[in-house]
Amino acid sequence: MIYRKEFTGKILKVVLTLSIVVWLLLQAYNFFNTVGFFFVSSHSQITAWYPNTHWLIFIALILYFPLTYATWLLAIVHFRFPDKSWYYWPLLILQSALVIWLQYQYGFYAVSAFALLFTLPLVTGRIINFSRKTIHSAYHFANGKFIGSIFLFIIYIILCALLPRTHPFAKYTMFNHFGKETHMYEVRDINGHLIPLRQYSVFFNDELFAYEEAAIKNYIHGNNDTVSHMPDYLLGAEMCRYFISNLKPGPFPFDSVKLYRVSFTLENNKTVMHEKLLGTYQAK
Amino acid sequence: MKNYWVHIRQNSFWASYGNSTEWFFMKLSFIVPVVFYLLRCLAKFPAQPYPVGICNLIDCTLPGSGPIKFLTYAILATAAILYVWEKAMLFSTFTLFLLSLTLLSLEESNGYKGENGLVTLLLLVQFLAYLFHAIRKQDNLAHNRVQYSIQIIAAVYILSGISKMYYSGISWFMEDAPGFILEVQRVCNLEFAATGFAGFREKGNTISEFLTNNPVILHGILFFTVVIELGSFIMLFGKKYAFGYAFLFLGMHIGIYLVMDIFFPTIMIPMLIFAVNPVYLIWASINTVKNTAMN
Repeated sequence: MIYRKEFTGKILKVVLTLSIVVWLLLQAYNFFNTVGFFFVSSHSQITAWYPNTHWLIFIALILYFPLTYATWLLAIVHFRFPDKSWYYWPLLILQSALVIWLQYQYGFYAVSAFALLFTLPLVTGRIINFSRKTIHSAYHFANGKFIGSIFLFIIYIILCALLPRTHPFAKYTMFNHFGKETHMYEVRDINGHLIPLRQYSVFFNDELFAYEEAAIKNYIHGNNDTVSHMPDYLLGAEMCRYFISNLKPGPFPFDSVKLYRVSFTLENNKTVMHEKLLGTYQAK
Repeated sequence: MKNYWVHIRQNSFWASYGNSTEWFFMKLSFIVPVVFYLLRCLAKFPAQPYPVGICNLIDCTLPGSGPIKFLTYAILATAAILYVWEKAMLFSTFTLFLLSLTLLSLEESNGYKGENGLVTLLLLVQFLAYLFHAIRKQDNLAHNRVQYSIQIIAAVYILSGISKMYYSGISWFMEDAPGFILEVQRVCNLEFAATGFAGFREKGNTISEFLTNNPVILHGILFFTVVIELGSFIMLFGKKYAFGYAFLFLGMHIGIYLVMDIFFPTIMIPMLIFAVNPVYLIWASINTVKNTAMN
């Protein structure tokens, strides 16, 4: 890997100066608002105006300004004297964690905007230089004869195991568990005769049944997860709607259709089929 | 005149994935179905009712909407041609990866769990191979672009095996094995429901009865399935191992298809392409016969 010139941060120093100006302005602004008020007021004053405030917020906000300032100072030192102030990084992490906590817990958005203005320009340069070295080292390690043959294999397995199902990551759970019951769906006419799906729909194979899971998940999510399952008549209606909306061009000779859930169980070493009518739905 | 089969029998052929002709046939046989798959997703899904993955961040229907779809067609065609032609590979592999990520996420956002992540990942790892080579010229690009693909394929199979062991343990092929019979009935009846052909229902009954009356065969099939999946890391040992192990997977997929009428094209086809490269073997055979006849 070819090293480019070290990032010196001349432009960043200009940005830093501007950041100080903004900081001062924000300080003035915040003095009359929440964060500055917290910084300069005593706890009893704060609780008089904000009865719900508790010690934790008070301490966090008191710590916020000196922590940010210390991070900024160390960032400058870190730039100028790279051998010193290794503790810039834990301090930055601490400051960032505090900002995120204050923001998401108590909505102090001015805090995070301020932190961004103050630290991001400095952090960027450090991250660029640090990342180049790290990528180079990681690449050397990953490209060794043995590791090069397996590192993607291991990384993909770890990512698929840790991440929720999100394309292209999946746990490939096909038939990883056999239950005591399986089921599928049949669409029939009003007299109970099977309507072959592929004859009338544009599906491949069992796409209607793959749609079932999405419909159930959507229903549960739509009810804010307070329900554990979708009522059969609603599921039937949803799946029929999907079937009807994916018909092949041409006449569909049925005014209404019935949706059956056909399930299979093992009883006395024999497969037994059960049918349940989910509902009758208008096709047109 | 080159006798390709003599070359294939030599150790140098099995030492690495370096042959550019093999790579050409791998690319060609991979990208053609991928392009058709992506075109199908473009045409079939005008909406994303249940957005997942990247479709939560962007509108995945955008590439297929209105006049933009013609631009998408043009980009897809250009990237595919450049990919096969081995030109601007960083651009072509990355573009194909982005298109695959978007359009296959769109398919999943319509409720289809197609286990198609492998297609996108293969494009990504090939991009990585070319990227690493661009950064570091000493890299064995010819080897890495195929070996990275084999790594992902092996990972998919081993994940399937790990999933079975994690969720069911050894009961997957022991106490819970009769549940497999119910799955067979389910898929056979699915075919019946889709086609109306009663033969599928009869097939389900026949297979179920056979497996119920021969529990040793039932347990054996399931046991070897898990063993084959968990042993997929053997493919990483080298080209010869990947080639041989691919036939075990092929046998497994054929068995699944015969019993359950289920076919996983997005997993099996890339596995065959990158581990066996059948199109190259057919081409090599034809050329060998032709050269032999001419001599």
